[in-house]
Amino acid sequence: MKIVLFISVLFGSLMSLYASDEERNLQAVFFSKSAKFIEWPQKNQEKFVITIIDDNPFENILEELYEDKQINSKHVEIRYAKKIEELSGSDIVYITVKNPDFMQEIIAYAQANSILSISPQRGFAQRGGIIQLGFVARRAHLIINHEASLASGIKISSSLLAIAAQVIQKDKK
Amino acid sequence: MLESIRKSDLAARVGGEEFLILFDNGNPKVVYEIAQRIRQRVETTPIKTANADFFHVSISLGFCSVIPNNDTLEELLKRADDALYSAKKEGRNRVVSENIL
Repeated sequence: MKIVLFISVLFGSLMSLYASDEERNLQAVFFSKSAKFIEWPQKNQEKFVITIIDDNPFENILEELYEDKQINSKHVEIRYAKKIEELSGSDIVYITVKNPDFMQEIIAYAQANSILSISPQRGFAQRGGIIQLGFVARRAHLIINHEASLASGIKISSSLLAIAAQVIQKDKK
Repeated sequence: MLESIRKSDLAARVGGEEFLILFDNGNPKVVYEIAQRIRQRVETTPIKTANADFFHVSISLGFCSVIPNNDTLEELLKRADDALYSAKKEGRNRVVSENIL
């Protein structure tokens, strides 16, 4: 009999030990690259807000990368959060939370507030997150929950959907 | 992890902090015991940082048996992931099988 054993390390900051610097840089760049293919509902705020909730695997990469850059013609603000209330006003939330119940709460909050949820965690898109982000041989390996994005009022262009390894769609009945 | 498995088994990193072992010719009770040994060893092994500080990590483990001629890779990984999800939900630092042993 063949048996599959799945193992997950449970100390968030350990992610930085395993994820290579290159992988972190690619993830950081992904926020602005992907935003070109995503349309958020109109928001009356001056800045484009990216929030990292729980551990920050990027150290100061995001600040350096987005200091002088704009996303959707807005200057970028990087925030760090530990609580759901701190996600208010975000355009993107990058989730490193390990607690599955807390993760589910964040996904629900993001969906109710038109926040694009992104996480590298396995099963994220299947649990209602919008983009599960990984990299294989320097190429983005995306699982996109299109049903979740539509429920959030966030439109993802067909160009981005086309490069996803998997797109989760609403079942056609 | 590699010291805990046989040559015929396959271990791989599949995500940022996630690993997978495929046991060829595995017995669920034996795999459970191996998983517990890996968990205990990780829990008791200090990790040294660049600053010479030490810290500990814990792991959650979930496993399932392959259903011959009936499992796609996606379904198999989903079931193993569900078992892992249960391990996290039940309090982490534990081993959970999809089936009752």
